[in-house]
Amino acid sequence: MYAKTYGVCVSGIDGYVVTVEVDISPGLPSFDIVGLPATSVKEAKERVRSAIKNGGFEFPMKRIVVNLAPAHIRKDGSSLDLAIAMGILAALQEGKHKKKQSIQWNHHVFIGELSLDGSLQPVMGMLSMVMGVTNQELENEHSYTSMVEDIIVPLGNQEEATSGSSIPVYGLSSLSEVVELVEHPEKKKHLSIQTSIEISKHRMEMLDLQDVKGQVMAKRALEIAAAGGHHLLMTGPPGSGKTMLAKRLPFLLPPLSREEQLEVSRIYSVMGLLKSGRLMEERPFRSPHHTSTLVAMAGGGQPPKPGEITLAHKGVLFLDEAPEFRRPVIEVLRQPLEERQIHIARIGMATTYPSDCIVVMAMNPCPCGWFGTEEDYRCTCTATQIQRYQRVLSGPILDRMDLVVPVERPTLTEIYAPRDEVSTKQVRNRVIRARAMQMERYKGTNISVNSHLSHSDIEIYAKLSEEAKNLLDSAFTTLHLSLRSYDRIIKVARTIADLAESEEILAEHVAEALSYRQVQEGL
Amino acid sequence: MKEEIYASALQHVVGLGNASLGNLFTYYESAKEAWHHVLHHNVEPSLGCKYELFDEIRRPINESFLLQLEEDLERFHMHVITWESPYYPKSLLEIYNSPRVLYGRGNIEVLQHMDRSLAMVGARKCSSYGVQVARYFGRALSNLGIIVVSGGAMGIDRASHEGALQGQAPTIAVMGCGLNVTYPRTNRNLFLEILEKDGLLLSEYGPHMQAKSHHFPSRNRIISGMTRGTIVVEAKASSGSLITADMAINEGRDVFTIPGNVLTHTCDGNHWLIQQGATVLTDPEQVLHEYGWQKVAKYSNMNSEQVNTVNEEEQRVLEAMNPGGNTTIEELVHTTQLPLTNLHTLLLQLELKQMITHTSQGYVLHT
Repeated sequence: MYAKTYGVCVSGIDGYVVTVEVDISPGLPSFDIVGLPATSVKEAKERVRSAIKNGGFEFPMKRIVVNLAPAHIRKDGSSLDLAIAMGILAALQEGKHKKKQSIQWNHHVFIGELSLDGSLQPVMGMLSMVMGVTNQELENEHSYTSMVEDIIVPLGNQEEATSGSSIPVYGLSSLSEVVELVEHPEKKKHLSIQTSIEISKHRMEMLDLQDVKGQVMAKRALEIAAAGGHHLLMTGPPGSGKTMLAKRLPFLLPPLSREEQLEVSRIYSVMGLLKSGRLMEERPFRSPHHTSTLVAMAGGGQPPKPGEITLAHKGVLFLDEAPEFRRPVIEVLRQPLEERQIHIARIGMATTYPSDCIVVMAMNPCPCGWFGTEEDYRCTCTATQIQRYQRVLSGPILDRMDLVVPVERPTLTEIYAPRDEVSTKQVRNRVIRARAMQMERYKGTNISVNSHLSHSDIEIYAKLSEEAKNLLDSAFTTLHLSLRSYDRIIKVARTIADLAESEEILAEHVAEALSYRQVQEGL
Repeated sequence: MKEEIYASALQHVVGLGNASLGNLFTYYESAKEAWHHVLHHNVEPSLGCKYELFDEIRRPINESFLLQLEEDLERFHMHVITWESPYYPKSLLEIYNSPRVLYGRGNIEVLQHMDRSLAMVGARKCSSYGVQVARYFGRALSNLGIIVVSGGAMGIDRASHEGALQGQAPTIAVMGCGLNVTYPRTNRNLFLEILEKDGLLLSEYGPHMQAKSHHFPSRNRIISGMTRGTIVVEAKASSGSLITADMAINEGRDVFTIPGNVLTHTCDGNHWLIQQGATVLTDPEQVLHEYGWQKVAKYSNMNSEQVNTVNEEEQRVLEAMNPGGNTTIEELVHTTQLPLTNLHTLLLQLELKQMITHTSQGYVLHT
């Protein structure tokens, strides 16, 4: 008695279809799963056995072998429970109705975890799984999965699964319901099918830039960061509003496109962080604590999970008190910031996670926070302590910070001064226009924002006007700038020009870009 | 082997301080003679020398130590300057516990011009105002042909040297460690520049001696002792710079100080000194009067810099800046009412004209 069903597993953030073959033969009762199952899949045996029994079916007292193909990939997670259980029931049916093959078990993909009473439990990574099914189907039109008609998922995952799938998705709550649906496909009609999920009306409450008083320079830096995807470093004493400013950055960015929403949601789905099964519509804002470990930041573990830098994909990664992070935790960001993806290699598996985010770092001017500020006399640090603190961020990391901006504590008069504060809406409109200009300019390349420009790209896309070039040259000799900062300044000037809707980079844009450069403290 | 090497070797012996060394040299009339007696433990008992044949880091002192020392001195280009040396600053002979042996690296000729020298001291952790003042005075004094002596530490010391390096006269850094040891590390480039520009690194410690906290007060006595006067640039209340000022007074040197901001408390030491009767310096040329020094022809006209022209808007920005302190962009936007983009251009122009400096917290006006 042999049967074949389809289940799905997740590797990294990609789902892939697993063929579950079940063979039931006479012999001493046994139940084996082969095909590189991880412990969590091996444990499925007990769940499947009980779920079949308690679901009102008979568990065969025979020799059962389950094979998971492809056999070379390690399968993890509980999502294969349903496919295995259905495989066993299919193999039993096969034995009973030898002649008429009316029931088509392999026209479905089964995803779900079983509990002992036979009910279906939601699983993590649903979005990746259904997207895996859809993509695999598209890629191999003639493959075995091309006959797949629909995906059966736990009811709790239905919303999430629907949003990522191009074929019908049925959310059911127990094993017996699944069997009934498979045996009587005509009943599908009675099930409500959500083809696409409506965009939720209530967006997350927007944090408006208007709430921040003063801080014109920092606000402008946020605008530039949002427009060109530049990384930002803010320095300032405690209570100057660094966190407040950083939290407003995601709202300055243009809304996520549908593709981006799916990309981001997949990551959150794998981590089981997708709220109420809805797609991520807001740009993520991650602010890991400075005690975070290397693995928490970069991703990893067994099985590998995405880290903070991946969770901030398409959004903002905010590192408050950056010098307090353990050094390797910051240094690990170097390569992902450059490549916008991170390769995690562990024994037996290597995976790649996306990490295209804007990094915002905040730091105090010294360990106690008062050095060099208006209230300098409150500083109790020694010169050596200050130097050590300021050196914690390594050169390569500082090199990746395109914008450096001081944040001062506002005075009371500044707080109460009636002023027209720029609103998030205004800034976002400018950012969207600037991004549109970039999109147009970089059409057909893999560049999407100015910060992605390489040295050779700069010569093509970032033309300086004669005046701007002279200004930059004289600035370099007079201000003793390093050659490494040269590209950075041009990239920022490119974004400032885009915000001013100017195709050419003018002197004023270079002048502004220069004011966000890193300056050496004169201790 | 040269006399100086013997003197240097004797200086390493634990138990032989400057007083004992002086007695030994006078009694035996040559360092070589003294060395042999010390090595064979038959020193004249009436000299009362008690010593062990080890140096401070427990290396045994013997003939091979002597050879090693000679090699090290050569390798690190360290000159040994003994009491008898023509280079030894005369003024240093006058002070209490004056060092019998000094080590110099670089241009030791400058030591013959110590009658036209001033020390600049101040806090390692200093305000941006302090840095500005130190650079300004360092440069101006140097351009008046005065040798600026400081301690090669962070903060005011560093800024004083930097200023002096921009001027015409050489500068001297007196260190609290051996001259082949770089302390503080961050000032490595500064020391290299001092050597490059015909300056001198000076120390009373032999090769390989690490910087220790007790070295610094004794280094300060050299700084204040070898110069005509000491300028306290920025000192908090009860700080090391005040101790240096104290030493200067005790040795009959002059103490100058530069007034600072009374609100920030970073210059409380300066103000205390003023209350005690120190001379207030507001203009570097004042010191010429104090000592009756003439302007040196070689250095004259160095102080007049090229005059930069500023336009109306730049002037507006300059007027809005806090004199002697940081001005944030925030404040400038507020006071000048100029749009941010214009302001950036104006500030950069002023910076290129070297009238202001961009710091991590804003902009500082040049004096």
